[in-house]
Amino acid sequence: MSKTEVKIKHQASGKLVPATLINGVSIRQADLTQRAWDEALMKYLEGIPKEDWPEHTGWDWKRKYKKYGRLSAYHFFGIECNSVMQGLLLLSTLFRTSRIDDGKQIIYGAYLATAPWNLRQLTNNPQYSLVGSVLVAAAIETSRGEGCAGRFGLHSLKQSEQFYRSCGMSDLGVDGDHNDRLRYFEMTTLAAEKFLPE
Amino acid sequence: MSDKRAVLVQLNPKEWDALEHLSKKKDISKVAVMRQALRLYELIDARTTEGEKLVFEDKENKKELLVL
Repeated sequence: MSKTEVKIKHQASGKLVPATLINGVSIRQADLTQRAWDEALMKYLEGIPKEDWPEHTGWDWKRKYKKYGRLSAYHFFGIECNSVMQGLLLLSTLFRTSRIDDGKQIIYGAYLATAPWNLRQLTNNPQYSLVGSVLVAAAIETSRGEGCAGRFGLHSLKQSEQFYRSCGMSDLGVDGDHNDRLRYFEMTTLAAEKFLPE
Repeated sequence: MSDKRAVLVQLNPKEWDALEHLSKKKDISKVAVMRQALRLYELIDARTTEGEKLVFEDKENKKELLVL
């Protein structure tokens, strides 16, 4: 496990505050996070029509850990602030071929989510922002470390598409081969350099 | 201090050719090919040990079970 100090934005004060980026989230951390997020979700989802629920409401991070967490191909990142996980990312370092840079290899963002209390669709007063951006930066850093020059791909839930566009990722349209027919996005080397200069 | 460990691997000509071919085709280093191979092997072993099966699908959606 490695830890890096990062900054996320505390919304109420508008100030950047220190947080810890963990590479190698443990099963205990995944379990505690799942419980904390479930508890918060139950509170927030009351009175919100089901069609407006976050699309990742049913994700079970403890289960994801059990399936992928111990395998060397996967990096399980978390951002901890105030002793609570503010966001999680599961990244696969099994190479795929870029759909933009012909023949170039990329890594893949399997799952990325921020804590319920940071989601604007659930609360008018989210606690922290920039959590997703720090996780995207972690994906770029990992890609560079793997020799993929910042390139990575992912399939985005509908509610997150705008976020990935705002990060500079290229929207390559609906992937007909994907089980849920999600849109596929790729971060190019150039876009990665703009998002997180080396 | 790096927590990485080194290993010396001796390959027969066929394995060496495969390594060179993949390195060239994927435009990645030979070390990266070896790392990818290990990660994939571990993943497949973990899933098949759990009783899952590895299936390939061709363009006509014909599925072929890969026996490992």
